[in-house]
Amino acid sequence: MGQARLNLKGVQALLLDSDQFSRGLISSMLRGFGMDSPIIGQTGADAMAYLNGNGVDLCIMEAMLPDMSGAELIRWLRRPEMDKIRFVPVVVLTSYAQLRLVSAARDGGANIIVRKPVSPQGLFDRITWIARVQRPFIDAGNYSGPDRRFQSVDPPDGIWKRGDDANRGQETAPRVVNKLAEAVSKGSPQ
Amino acid sequence: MKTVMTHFPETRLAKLAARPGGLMRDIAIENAMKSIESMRGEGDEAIKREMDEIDKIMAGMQKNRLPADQLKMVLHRADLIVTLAATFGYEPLARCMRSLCDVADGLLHNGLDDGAPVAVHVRSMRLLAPGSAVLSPPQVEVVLGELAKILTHYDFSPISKQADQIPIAK
Repeated sequence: MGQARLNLKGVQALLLDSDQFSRGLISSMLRGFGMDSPIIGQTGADAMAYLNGNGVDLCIMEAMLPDMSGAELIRWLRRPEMDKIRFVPVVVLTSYAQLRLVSAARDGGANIIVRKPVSPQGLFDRITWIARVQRPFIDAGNYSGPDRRFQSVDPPDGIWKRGDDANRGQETAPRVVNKLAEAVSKGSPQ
Repeated sequence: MKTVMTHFPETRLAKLAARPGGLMRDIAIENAMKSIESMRGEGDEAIKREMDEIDKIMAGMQKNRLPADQLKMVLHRADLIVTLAATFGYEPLARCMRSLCDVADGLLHNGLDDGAPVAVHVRSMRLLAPGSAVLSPPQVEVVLGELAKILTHYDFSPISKQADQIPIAK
């Protein structure tokens, strides 16, 4: 299979992290991927102020900001009043001590959650996945955000639907179909 | 009955990323790796800064007690060091700081203010810091093994065990 090629030139990201060094680290990774320098913020209030008048193409934020949780900020962003910007993909970064906030971020409407330390491979593959896999966006009263069910799309490589799937070698239907399609295209159906 | 609406938005990210051109995965990752590596010196400085902050908190400890606000500060600083140390490949230090996070978190959740288990971690932190005397792998395991006993003694569960069991990216 050919390598993923991604054109991120001109993509405007909003990066929210309370730690200056982490912000610098993620920014330089994004620039390494060919993305423009991200808009930087430290707090949820910074993000709200910016997003009230500006659009972004990708939001990368910590699970806990100094003034609010990432989940609260995502809920604010996903409101119908936010018009088209509510659909913006959101990547939530969790540090070790923030691991308990994973389900809150998911239920808030995050597209994907990435554990720190963020590796360039991990971040690039997640951004590729978000850009390439179209997930429906659900408005269901108490939840607004990407469809959390993986029925017709797979989670990114290395992530499994259930915790023990990887150990059991469990394959998902879309992965099996993709592998077959790949084999057929190479002229060697299995 | 609640109405559930399903949208199929095409994001600007998807549109832009699908344009021709751009970088191959390996090149994009290599670029990013180089950027990170160029920040190693700053990273070491940041680790040292956070360690100094923890030392300051410990220096102000009275009667071997750490009140909740100070424990929270230790937890915050240790958490930052975990990320920094793991980013730059200081795995023993990252493990030591994860253990400190577990202990500080356990103390906070149980309303305890014992300073001793934190102090032991801070001494180990200095042993495993970048630039300090290099310990052999068996020596590192002895240090980390002793720290693990503290968690067992208090019957604290590591944060990673309490976290949601949904798959997340590494």
